[in-house]
Amino acid sequence: MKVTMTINHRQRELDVAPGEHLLDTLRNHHILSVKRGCDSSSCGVCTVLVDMKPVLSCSVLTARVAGKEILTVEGIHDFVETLAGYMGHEGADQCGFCNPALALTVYALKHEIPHPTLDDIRHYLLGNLCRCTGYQAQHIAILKCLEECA
Amino acid sequence: MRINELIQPTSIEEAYALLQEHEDAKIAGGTLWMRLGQHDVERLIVLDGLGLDTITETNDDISIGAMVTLRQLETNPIIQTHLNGMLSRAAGSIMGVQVRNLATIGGSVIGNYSFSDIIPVLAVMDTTLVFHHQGEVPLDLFLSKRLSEPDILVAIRIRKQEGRGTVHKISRTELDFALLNVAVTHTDRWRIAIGSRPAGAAMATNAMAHLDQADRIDDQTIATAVELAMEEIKLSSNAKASQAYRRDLLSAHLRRALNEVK
Repeated sequence: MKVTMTINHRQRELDVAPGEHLLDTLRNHHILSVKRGCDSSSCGVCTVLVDMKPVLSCSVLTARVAGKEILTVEGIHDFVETLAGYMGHEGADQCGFCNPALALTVYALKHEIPHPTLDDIRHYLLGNLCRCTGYQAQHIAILKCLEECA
Repeated sequence: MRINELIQPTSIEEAYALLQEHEDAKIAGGTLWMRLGQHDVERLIVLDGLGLDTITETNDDISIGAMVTLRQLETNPIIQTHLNGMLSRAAGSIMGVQVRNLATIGGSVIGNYSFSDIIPVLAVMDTTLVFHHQGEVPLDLFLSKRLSEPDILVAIRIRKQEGRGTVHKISRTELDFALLNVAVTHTDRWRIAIGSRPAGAAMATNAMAHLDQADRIDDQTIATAVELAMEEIKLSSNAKASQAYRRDLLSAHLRRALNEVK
């Protein structure tokens, strides 16, 4: 079936199967920043933004996001570069596998809660699992980034 | 799981007609659980764009569309204030924001999952399910019987009540399923529901009656209510927790919950 959507500010018409998930669609179209992790709605590394809301692309049928705006990190380049500076400064980065999903979720948080507390950040990012950092440095980096870039 | 055909009807009437026409058709909620299932779906009917994703209120009721997401429940001001925002808090305790932006209240209710954090809360509110064909069905009736025929849940209606409410979800981590859910409301009467026993939500009717008949609610009244609940609520063991541990949790958390809303 043919579906039309905006991916990273570009309108795309795609031919997808009825049961195809957005994760597969994006990766089949060479958007490989969207990672396949648990593939069972648990880990958050496949996060993308649909109309600015973070969702698990492994669990969204592509046909259901027809007409919507999809963002991956390729579509928020400037913000990712800024956040990366803060993460590096706090030593909050290790293997990097979860970074694209984390950056997208922080981008959504910034728009939904313009001045978040550390608790807001922790709660909003609960669904972004990171196997390396232990979260503390990530959360401090994000808090500083959002405070100073507000 | 494979989906062979995805149908996006333009009205509830059309969706209902499709459901009657095709025995193998299923209605999509957030499809988070459906996708993990082993069974293929011949026809999936999607209710997106049919106006079932809003929360409205009148003087008497709050009406929640079946396609309202858990995140909407968490952040909606009407839900955040009714009975101390207990439904909002229950929704906000489920998985991460990425899941809550997909999972719907309709899917949570129709699935009637024993681990549901939503159903115990709805059970202690005055909740009615609104189906397209069968009309209004009280939640407790729905939970005790299977639907007699395929139908479409269009809304969850909660009668507004003055009072207090609280919910305790006890889990090993914030992302995990509950080991036990304790939901309590104190309006013109008391209501207590215990979920994730690990069986589905059950009402502590003897404890509720004891509290309703008490002249005053003091430590002794609450202690007796907890004892009655421990006698009537059937708890058991599974991989997450033993029956003995669940009994300890029920005793402690029900006492705390009753004290919060007395």
